[in-house]
Amino acid sequence: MKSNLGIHSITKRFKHGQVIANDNISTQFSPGIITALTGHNGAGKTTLLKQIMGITRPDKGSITFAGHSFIQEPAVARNMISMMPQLHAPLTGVTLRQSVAAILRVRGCFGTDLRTELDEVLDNLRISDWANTPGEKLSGGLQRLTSFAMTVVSPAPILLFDEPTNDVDPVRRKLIWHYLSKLAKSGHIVIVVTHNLVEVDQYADRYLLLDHGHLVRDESTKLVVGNLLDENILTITTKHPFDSRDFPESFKVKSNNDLRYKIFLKHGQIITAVQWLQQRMDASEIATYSLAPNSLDSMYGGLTDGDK
Amino acid sequence: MGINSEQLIDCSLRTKLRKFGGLIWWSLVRHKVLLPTFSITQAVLALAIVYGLALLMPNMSHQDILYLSSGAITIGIIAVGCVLAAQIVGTAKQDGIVDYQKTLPVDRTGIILADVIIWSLASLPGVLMSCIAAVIRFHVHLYVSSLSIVIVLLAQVTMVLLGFSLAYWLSANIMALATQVIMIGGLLFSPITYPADRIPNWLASVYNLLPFVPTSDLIRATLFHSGTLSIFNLIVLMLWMVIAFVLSLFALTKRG
Repeated sequence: MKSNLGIHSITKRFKHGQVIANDNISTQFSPGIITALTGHNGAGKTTLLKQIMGITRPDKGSITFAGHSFIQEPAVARNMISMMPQLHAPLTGVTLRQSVAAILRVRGCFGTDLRTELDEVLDNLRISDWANTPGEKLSGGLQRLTSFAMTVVSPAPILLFDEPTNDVDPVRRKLIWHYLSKLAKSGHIVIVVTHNLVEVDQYADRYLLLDHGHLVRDESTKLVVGNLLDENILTITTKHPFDSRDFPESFKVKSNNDLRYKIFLKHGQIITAVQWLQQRMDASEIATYSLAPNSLDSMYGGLTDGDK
Repeated sequence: MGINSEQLIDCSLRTKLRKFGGLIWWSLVRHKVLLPTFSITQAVLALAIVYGLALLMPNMSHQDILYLSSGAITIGIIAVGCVLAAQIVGTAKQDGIVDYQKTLPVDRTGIILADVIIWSLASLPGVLMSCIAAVIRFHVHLYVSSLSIVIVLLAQVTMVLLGFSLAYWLSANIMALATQVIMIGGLLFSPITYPADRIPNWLASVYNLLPFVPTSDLIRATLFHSGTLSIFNLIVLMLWMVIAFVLSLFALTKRG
């Protein structure tokens, strides 16, 4: 049960090949690790999850786990994977408790085991107070938590989550991530699609960035965060256009020609940069400025071109 | 919290039956509010056909009575399977429930059978109400036998599967239109509530190949002992059941 999930050269196109959802993606997912799958809307994240789940068939490539091909054996994939969909799970007309109990029954859990697992997950996610509330009367966040509970109860070896913390309050967001950590530590493969890079920074072990169907970054968040912490960004807005001669030669500067400049600084350059900034401010050339450590968020923008 | 390997590798018949039972239970709790509503609707429909249509024909022959009585049962079964089930499953498709079901660790056949059982149960009150109304209004004799029960069950399953196929394969608007056409065709134009010799031969031949008129004929032959049990009608009905099942199964197994 300690197998890796292998993705080998997965390619998926839609609209008769005109739209590339995933282009030749290869990677591995290991038990014990939370992998965050990020990228702008339409980057191909959900399509990748659906192919792993076996409900979308790739045009090319293979997906393997424990000696099984999930493409050739979708029934095996369904037994090995629990998936939390991007939209809410079906909750209308069913209480929170009944929704979770239904999934336990469908997963073959009955009697005392069912009641124990059910109570445990509701308590852990602190949603027991709403156990007998019909799904349609739950708030968006509680519906999301119910959907999360339906995914993690009697958990399969591979767990896929499509934006699990959307609409969820900050306290329960933490609960969700801690629950994911516990699942990972107990040997599950955990893959989370999210746009919340602050949470990726804090909780994920690994970070995959998709851009227009391409896998453009695949590395440990500790490594990414470590590298990022070594860099700082001085953002300035000037009162007139600057050219490269206005900045010290050693500075790496980016600009979108809108009087706003981003200066990337190593720790050792900060004093020099502040002195340069002081001079420019004395000359009334700077309208606004801010200095902050680099973040995953800024790297995300640098590696993708948004919804273009 | 740990990996539930026991359940993952347990492919015993007991576990499969438990999972199937879980699907039925889930379907039942999801539809628990709708089912009583449907029962009332069917009761009203049965009364409308048996009592309402009878008002249009003041001098009814025994044959008219049998057609109206058996027609009420048939139309009730068509209404639940091809209209109500189709619309509810269509809504479930739009709400993402069908896609969600596709991710669950159960056979596609199990998903279909669980819903068939629930919807067949849902059409039973209509059948019973039609029978009671016919007996009270026309004093007809019902020949309840294992054969007539099997025919009614076969009719229910076929109509429900047809409804599923419409819902799975058609867009919401087209599906709504199709269900209305089936219902209006069933109530007004098809020889379900009147003998086929009142319509042109070519049209009767077309109806004989569709599932609705053969269903009506089979119910009349077995439950009312009017006419003989036609093997051709039985084959037509079973063929439609198989076609509808394959279409539903294909819709659930196809991958985008």
